[in-house]
Amino acid sequence: MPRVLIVEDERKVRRGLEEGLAGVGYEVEAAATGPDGAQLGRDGRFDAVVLDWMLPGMDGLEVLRALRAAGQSVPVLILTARDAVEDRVLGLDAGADDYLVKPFAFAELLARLRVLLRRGQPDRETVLRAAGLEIDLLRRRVTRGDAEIALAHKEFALLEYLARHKGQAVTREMLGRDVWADPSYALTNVVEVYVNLLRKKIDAPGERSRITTVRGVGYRLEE
Amino acid sequence: MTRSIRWRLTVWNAVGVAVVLVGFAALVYWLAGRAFRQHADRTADTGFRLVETDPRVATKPVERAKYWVREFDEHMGVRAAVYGPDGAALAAHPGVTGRGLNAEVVGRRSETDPEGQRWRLAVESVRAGDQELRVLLMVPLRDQDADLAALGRAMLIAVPIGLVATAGLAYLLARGAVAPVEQLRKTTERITADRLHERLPVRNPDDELGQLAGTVNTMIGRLERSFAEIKRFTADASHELRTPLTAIRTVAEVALAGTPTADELRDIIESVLEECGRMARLTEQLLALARDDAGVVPRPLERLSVAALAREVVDTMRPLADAKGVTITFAEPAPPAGVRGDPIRLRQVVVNLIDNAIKYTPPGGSVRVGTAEADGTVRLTVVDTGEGIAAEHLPRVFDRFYRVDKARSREQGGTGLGLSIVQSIATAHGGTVSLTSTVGVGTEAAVSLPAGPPA
Repeated sequence: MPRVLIVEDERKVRRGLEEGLAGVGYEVEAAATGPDGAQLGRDGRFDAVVLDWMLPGMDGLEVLRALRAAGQSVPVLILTARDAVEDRVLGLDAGADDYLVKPFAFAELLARLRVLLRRGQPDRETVLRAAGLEIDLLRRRVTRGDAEIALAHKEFALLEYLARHKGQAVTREMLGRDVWADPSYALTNVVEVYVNLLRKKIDAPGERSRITTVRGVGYRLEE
Repeated sequence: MTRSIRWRLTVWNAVGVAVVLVGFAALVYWLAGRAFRQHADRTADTGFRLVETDPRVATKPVERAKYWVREFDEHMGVRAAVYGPDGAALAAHPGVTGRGLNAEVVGRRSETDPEGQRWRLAVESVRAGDQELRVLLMVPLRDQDADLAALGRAMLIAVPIGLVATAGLAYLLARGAVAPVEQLRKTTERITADRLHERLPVRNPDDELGQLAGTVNTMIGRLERSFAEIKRFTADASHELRTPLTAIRTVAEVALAGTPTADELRDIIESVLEECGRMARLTEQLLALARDDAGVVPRPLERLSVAALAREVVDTMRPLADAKGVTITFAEPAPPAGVRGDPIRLRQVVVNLIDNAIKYTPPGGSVRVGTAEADGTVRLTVVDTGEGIAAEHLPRVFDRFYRVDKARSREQGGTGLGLSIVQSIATAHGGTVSLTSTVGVGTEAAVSLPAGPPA
């Protein structure tokens, strides 16, 4: 199981992340200060680091530079309450691999972490399987058993995204940003309407929907 | 203090007056000197004419010459000498011969004798019968010099006194002129954030100070409105954040007080998450608004086509309209109008306007989206056949957190910031947004942006 280091000074957030990541099967260690985080991270045991920016002792960027200076190429996800483009650039320039603005959805943190852990292993899958569906990415075809399901362009993109995150909740913000390439849509009912259109096409009549609404979070496609 | 306007005005005034006074005194002194010399010359002219018009000079030159030399000395205090055609003196005052003066050069000049006495020396040829005599006259300048010296002394006293007097006057004038400015400053200083309702007194709105006071008053008025706006905004924002916080607190406390079942707990946590989502969206929008207000451009501007953007948003949102039974159409313009802008922010304008239009249009209605270009302006219009907005609400719909139907908007997940965001994005792009509406007929929202190069 992948080992993840969490460096976060806010106790509740740190505990929440520890329990949440342990709950989905990661081996988690946590540090509450910058120097502790840099110390723990230096020996290379971790597959990913979740690093808060504002830390006592040493800030997240300094920890990150210390890790990179010590030759650690471990993927680092920076957490911050600062959401200015220049901050983002600063973080990525310092060697961060991704950047998540607080308050983030835990579902999104999980998704980003999975991407970081897969890094270096290119996605060679051309056919995704989820919820009894077969999604052929090359021919852009979806089949349920022998029946082919005709999907509009955006419906296909939505299904592909849900299938890549099958069994996990994804938020409306993630869908708005990643499927529609614009977070504006997350503030409207666009995501909801498209999910309903997709449900009508992929669900078998009379059955429970393959796409579950996770109240307060978003949507989840069955495995 | 030495750098105050009052002092500078006084000093400049004094310097100016000093230059004028000294120049004037010098001119008067010089003119007086010239007048005195001319007076002496006229005395000499009189002398020459007396000799010239004496008929006996031609017949008895030596005798008459002596007579005139004596006569001049006794009655005019003028020393004289008369020379014959051969240059020999016919008669001469001892003060002339004693100094060895001759009459070879005709003309006038000023001379100082060894005793320090100044004279005006005049030499002229005078015809007497058939011979040419030379007459030399020495007119004393003693009295004139005394007068000139007295004038000089008077000026040396009068000029400094005049200078001091005008400087003092200038100081008083400057102080008088600057006093209202000082008054203005003191009053302005008294007006602090909590006394913005006060205004400066305007004595004469047409003079410079009155205009300054008027300008400052206008500025205070703007400040007052901004402060009121900020106060209202802060109150509204905290209210908006308190609402979800209250919801979270209530459900959590109630849950803790009772013995909820697992399903009930789940329901409680889900509702807490919903409220968190609402707060997260709200803070994100507030941040975006603050950024637009501060004029921060998060991304470089691009050339883009509003028509293409609108078409894309209409296509994306069509299922939303379909689901509600509302028809949405897009009128293709030709050629597509281009602007310079941030595609993400401008898309948000289109999304917000269309989202509103669909939300407030009943099933069976329609939403028409169109773009047009005229006079260097690209215009995006979203026309709906919705319920419309009453006239009393129209002026305030762009205000932050202003909702026409508070309960319903919140229920539909609205933050009350949608149109404020549209306006601030349009403004940040150098454009405007307007809303016209008739209750029961529909609403037209129009965004105008300055046309850029075609995309």
